Amino acid sequence: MAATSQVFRVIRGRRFGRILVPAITCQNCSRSPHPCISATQPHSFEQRWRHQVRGYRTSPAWHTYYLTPPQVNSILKANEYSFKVPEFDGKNLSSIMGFDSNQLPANAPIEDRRSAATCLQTRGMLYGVFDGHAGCACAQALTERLFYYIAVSLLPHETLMELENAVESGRPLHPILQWHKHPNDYFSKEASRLYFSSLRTYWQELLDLSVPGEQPDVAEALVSAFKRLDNDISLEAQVGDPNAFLHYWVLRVAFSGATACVAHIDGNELHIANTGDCRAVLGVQEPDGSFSALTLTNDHSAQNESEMKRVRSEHPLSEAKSVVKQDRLLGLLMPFRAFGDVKFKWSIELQRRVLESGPDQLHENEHAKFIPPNYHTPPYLTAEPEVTRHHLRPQDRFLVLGSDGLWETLHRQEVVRIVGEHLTGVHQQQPVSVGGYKVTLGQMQGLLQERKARISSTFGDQNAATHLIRHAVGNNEFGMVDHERLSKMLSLPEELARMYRDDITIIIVQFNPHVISGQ
Amino acid sequence: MEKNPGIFSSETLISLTEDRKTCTSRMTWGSVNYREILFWNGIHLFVCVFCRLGAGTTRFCAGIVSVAKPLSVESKMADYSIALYERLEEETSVKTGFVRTGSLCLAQNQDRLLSLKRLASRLKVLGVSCNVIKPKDVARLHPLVNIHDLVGALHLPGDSVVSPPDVNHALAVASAAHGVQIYEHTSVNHVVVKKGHVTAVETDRGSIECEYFVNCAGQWAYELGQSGEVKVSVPLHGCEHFYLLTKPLSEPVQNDMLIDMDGRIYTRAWHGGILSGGFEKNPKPIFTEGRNQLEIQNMQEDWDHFEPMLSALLRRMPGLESCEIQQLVNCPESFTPDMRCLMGETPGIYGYFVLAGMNSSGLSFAGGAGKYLAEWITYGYPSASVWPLDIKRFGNLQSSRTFLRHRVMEVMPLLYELKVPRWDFQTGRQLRTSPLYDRLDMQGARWMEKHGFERAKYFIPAGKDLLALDQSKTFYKPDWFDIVGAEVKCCKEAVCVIDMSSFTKFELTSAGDQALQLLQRLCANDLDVPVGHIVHTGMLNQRGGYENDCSVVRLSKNSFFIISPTDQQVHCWSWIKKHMPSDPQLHLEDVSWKYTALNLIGPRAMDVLSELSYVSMTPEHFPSLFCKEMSVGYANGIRVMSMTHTGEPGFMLYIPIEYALHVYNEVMSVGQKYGIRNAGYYALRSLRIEKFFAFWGQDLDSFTTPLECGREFRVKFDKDTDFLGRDALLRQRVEGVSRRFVMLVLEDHDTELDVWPWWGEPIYRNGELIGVTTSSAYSYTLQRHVCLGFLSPTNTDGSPATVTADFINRGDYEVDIAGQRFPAKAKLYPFSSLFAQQKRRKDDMELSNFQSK
Repeated sequence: MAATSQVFRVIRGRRFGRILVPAITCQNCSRSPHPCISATQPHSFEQRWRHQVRGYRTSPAWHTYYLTPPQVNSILKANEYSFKVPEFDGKNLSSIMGFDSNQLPANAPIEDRRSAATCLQTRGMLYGVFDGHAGCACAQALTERLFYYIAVSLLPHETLMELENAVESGRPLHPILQWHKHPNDYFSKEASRLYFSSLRTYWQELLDLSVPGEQPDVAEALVSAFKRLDNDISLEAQVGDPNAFLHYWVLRVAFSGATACVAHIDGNELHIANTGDCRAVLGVQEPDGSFSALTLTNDHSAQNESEMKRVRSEHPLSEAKSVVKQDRLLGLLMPFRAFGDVKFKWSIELQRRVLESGPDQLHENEHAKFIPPNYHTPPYLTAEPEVTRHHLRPQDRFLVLGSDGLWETLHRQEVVRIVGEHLTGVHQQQPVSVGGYKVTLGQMQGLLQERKARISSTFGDQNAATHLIRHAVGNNEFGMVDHERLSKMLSLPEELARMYRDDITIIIVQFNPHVISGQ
Repeated sequence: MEKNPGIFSSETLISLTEDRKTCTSRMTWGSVNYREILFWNGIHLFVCVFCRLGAGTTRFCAGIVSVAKPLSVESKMADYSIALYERLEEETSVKTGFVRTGSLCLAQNQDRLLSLKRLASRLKVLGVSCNVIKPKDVARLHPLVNIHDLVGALHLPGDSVVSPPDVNHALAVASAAHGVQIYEHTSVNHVVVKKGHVTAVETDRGSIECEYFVNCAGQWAYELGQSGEVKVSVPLHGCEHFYLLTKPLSEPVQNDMLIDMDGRIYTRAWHGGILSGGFEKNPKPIFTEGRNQLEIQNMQEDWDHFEPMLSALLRRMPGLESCEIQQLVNCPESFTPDMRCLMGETPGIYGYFVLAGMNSSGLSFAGGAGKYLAEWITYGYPSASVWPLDIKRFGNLQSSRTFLRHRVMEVMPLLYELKVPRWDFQTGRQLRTSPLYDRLDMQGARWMEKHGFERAKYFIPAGKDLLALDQSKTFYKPDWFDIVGAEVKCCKEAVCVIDMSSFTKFELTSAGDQALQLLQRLCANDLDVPVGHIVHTGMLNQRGGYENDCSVVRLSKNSFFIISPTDQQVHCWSWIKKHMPSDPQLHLEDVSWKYTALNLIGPRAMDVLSELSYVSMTPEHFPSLFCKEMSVGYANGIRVMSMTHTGEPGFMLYIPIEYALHVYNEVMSVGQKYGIRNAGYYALRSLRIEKFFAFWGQDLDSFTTPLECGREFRVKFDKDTDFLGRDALLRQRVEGVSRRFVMLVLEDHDTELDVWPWWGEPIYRNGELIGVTTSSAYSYTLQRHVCLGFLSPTNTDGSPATVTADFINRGDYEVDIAGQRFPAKAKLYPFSSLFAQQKRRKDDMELSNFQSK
């Protein structure tokens, strides 16, 4: 049972679930089958975890279930995607060589989302990682909409004009974005008309506000797009839709939540807009060939003091104690900024009214009905991003965007080292040296064979993101991928997986140092 | 390791006494890591040493001296080294750490055991004691060894270990006693060459005049060779080499050295612990960019790289698991393109000698190599045939750093790899090719390489399993047997084409008769023949030995076309140049690259050619050994020669390269109705060996005279010119020969089941060792194996005895193949000559061939 106890040790101290809901609601909802939202069961982990762990220790059913290396690989590689920027004349003129992305679900269905697209009307590429909670609806809406809002915000007045005229006269539109679709990506057909009309309203407003001949500032555009989209999500839920399914969908989007981390790269200019606790880390190659991490975002959570200050300052002193409890917003929500989550934004009356007018399915959702305690001065939550600007240098080799599922298992320094070594193909393993120590041949052989296994696991992954996930899930105490552990973690039954790990989503963008140094 | 850019270092010490003329010179190689420069000035000897003598990584050198070497001459050198090191301690009273420990070469599989048995029978010829033992005997000799996966081993009780720095010191003491001056901390900048002779050496402390210079700079020999005004190509490249030292074991270690080639490791006892190193599959080449790389390259331990060897060691000696590590040593070794060391005088510069590229056997070769080189400098040639080690086997074409880097990465693992008959290098290929390469490759050619040139071995018929054929690595019957058989049959019954463009081709021309005079002096045969005649002749040295075996065509009164074996390109050039008077009207040109050579072998060759040229090619119109320029197809000016290098009827076509494809296509399309097909060198080899044709470099060397190999008919003692070697041959004719080239036909040898002969097998006469084979092939005509080799009988007192035809005919012969003896019939003349004699005059028989093993 050594292996089981090892897994047991690892999960201790991990955070489970983002939203804590009193245990009572859990018992309720577990009795009635939930049509939609309940399938994701984001709450009540603490409870269930204690129960289940006890259960699995007595039942030998699942820990005898091992995966072979090919099986492990097929699980890890199921969602991987790579894109290489095409070369012209044998030269890659873009500052980006390409990107690798992958995700590993822990929730069923997965609540993380990712997007990558090239802006066609302006220059630059967009990458985004979205970590949903209380369901995947909000994160899904973000993947479909946020990049359009950003792209539109970046358009100069003249292009907006053309766009509007084309729509007005029914001419075909020049595409704004070229998507790099991942496997299993889907866009909802039903909602696209609604989304489009909201977007059109947005650009019409932008048209009124903008001045011909002026280039929008990227940082401002990002902030504006984030806030506007969150606003639209909120409004659409309040207005509702005659189509019952769509009405239900917009409510699901609004009542679920998602954090977002978006990178916009245009030549040497890198902008990161972050809302919540996803993270963007830059891999910087030092002159000696090793890699160091440069974090470009701040987490919006209780661990961030300025965020604590901001949240407290936005509410009366009387709420100072209740607004952040147990490191969570109102004792419930881990990220301090997020899209959706109207329960933390709307007044109690508005929530009641919307829910009452909403479709029947919603009434059965205890989660939606539940009003946070000490809810006095909404809004408590904002989608406003924090924007970081970074001028790329030749030593900046890659950018890692990851959901918190990655960062809570691996330290950023470790992440950057693993990716850097994978991309360069060089293993900057510290060379072994006997020094003055007493080492026997047997001990040395054991150590060397472990190191060899570590290197050979690298060669299996074409995709740097897959490689990183392999490490995130399979690393043992020595920082080496342990197949047994990997196999256990991946063969967890759906209902257990979330207790041992979170959804992991990773995008790794590789820069082109030749172009960057040339500019 | 000391870092000192601008300083070259070498690895040699030399010791010699008094006068050059009378000296019993003895020069000794220290080890691969000795960093000294050595040169010779009259009777004085200077050794310039970078830093200290034997400084650097020398003190870590493994110190193993083993006679288990792939070539007999190498084993001989190692044997001499052992004797020298043993003597050294007495003579100098300096401790050398010499211990005759014995060594065990382990075999993990039957093929390896076979190769060890072959080695054992070869060593017995040299008089080195050795025996093949069972695994349980291994356990008895060396209790630490895990024997469960062994099938046997070779025990060499004579192998020794020494302490390299102490040997170095002892040699220095011995040399100093003989008046050798050693300059430490002196670097050689370059060598001064005037009129093709070494005249002085420029060092950072001034110039030293000298007549001879030996480049022993080890790793840096390549760079030192390139540093002078006249460049010298020393093709070698360094690789990192690792070995492990442990702390003393609790119980004393058995002394025997272990060589576990299948595990790629060697071990010896070292200060109560173990020293173990190996030759890994993935070597790390180093110093590709030269010594400035020394700055950036940290010569540090690389444990991850050593892991396979550590695992192999612990598998072999599991008891060592608890043994503590002392150190992992990284000492780079230099390797050459063909696993053999480089020695001898460089082509083009007189007095410039090289001794380098020891392929990590420096200490084993040291004594012997030093002895041979000292003889070479003193007498002009060493006392044994060292052609496989002669630096003249390489030319500038092996000088590319990229080539060397890639090739040594193959060579280093190859040291311990199982070498089966007819293995080829895989790296550094397709450097020189014939214009027909692609055409032949498309038709299924499988290639071998000689002197950088790709040559077809055989052609795989369409429909054969190609993958299976590449797995022809065996000591037994190879899978190409039937394919080559079909090619041979076609040569005998119809006509075959073999692309033989790799041959070395020279043109010697002069305004007057200087060319003829030169050739008359160099060649034993009479070259004063009518224009258009071809003469097979040896180029002999003063001792009457073959320096080259070639065919000379008299193109016109004063111009000659000389065709020599492929790997003679550098050696033959320098031999002719050495004897050529500096006459502006005498001109030698290397035209190897200008011609594509096609060999049309078979009775229908004349039909094909006459159809293409509208000229009758019957023996009446085109006698044997005749050359004519004629047209073939649309192409004019093709040199057609009536010889095939196999003894079969047919023609050689020397085609200017731009016509090559055209002529080939014409020959193939016209030849269709005569059953023409491609053939390769394996078929050629089978044909020439069954006709008892000797090949220079394989059967013939600079110690073999025409009288010893039955070629007296090609020596014209009565021609006007006193040719080189005439006196020696006349003397030998009176005294009789003490060795004789014979052909042995194996009886009772099951081609399907028995191990095939290769070369280097001992020959027994009436149960007594009498000689060694030099090459062998399966004769499809005789349906037997034919071995060629030399018999060198001795009298009862050990002196060489004279060989007579009678002696050869009266005797029962056996050939020892991997320890098993097969009865054989010895012949002085080929079987087919009985039939041939009726058709042709003996003189017309061409008995020349240049293809290799």
